[in-house]
Amino acid sequence: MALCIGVMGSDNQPLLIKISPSIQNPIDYHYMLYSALDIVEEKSQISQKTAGLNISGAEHRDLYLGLLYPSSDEVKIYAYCTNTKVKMILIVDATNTALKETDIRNTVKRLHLAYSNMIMNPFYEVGSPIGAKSFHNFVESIIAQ
Amino acid sequence: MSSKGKAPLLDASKVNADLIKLTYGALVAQIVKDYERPEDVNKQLDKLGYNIGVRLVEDFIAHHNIPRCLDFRQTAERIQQAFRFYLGMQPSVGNWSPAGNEFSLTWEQTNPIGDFVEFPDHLRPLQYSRVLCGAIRGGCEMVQIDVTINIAREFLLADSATELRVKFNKRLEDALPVGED
Repeated sequence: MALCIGVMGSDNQPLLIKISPSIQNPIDYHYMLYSALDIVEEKSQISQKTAGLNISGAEHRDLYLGLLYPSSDEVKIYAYCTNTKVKMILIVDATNTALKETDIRNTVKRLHLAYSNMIMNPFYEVGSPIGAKSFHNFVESIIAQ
Repeated sequence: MSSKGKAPLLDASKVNADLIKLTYGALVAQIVKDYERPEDVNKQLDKLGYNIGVRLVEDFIAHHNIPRCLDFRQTAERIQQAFRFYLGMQPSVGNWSPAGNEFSLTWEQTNPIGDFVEFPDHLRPLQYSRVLCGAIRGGCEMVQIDVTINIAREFLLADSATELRVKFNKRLEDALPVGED
């Protein structure tokens, strides 16, 4: 379903970037991912302000940020930002009309769960690039879906 | 988090299983950092387990009022019981050798002390469950039974179960502590 999935750490460092093998120009998708990060930052700041002065500042906001911006005709970019500032960005084909918003929401939710399971692995150092095969397979299965 | 981790702690004196797994995982990761060679790490984990076992067996016997085992099958039952008591996950006992001196403790589709663990390729020789072997060995040694334990199957290495093979060597008849004649 997805063309590209990016998982970024709290300092915007890439933890895992997977691009569908059908893509001819993968470098464009890297650009899209990194430019999407700016918008994610902006969006999460706004929602922090509206959330008022509670301590965490992020308590009531939805982790799912939705469609980032009405982008090109070719792709749509969705983002999810956890409270630990891990960002998950999903780039999907805009021409695929069968894809519903709820599907995207569920998918990133599952991605978050898979991430939290992966992070339980004692041999994984938090913030380093993800090497776990199970997580790679999971992300690939989403792309291939 | 795992589904098991979500239940609230009702009994304050009990510790969440996920906490144990994470603590043990962090410990192993640290030992790996300190020793580097997986074989050395296995040795350390075994020693760690042994030290747990020699203490735990005392506590186990005191709490359960257990009489002496008359044969090795009873010993197997006790070990099974001890796992239920301390880990809350009971293994199945089976796969007895014809001579009755060797059996398997099996946890189907799980590892009692590790979920989510994935070994990097250079750590494949690491025996994550070695601490359990050490604990059984230590516990048995304190009640004058000498056993050897091997890890026959490891769920974390894509086997269908975690299986420990326990082999009876001999009774330690005259194992008096050093310095006593």
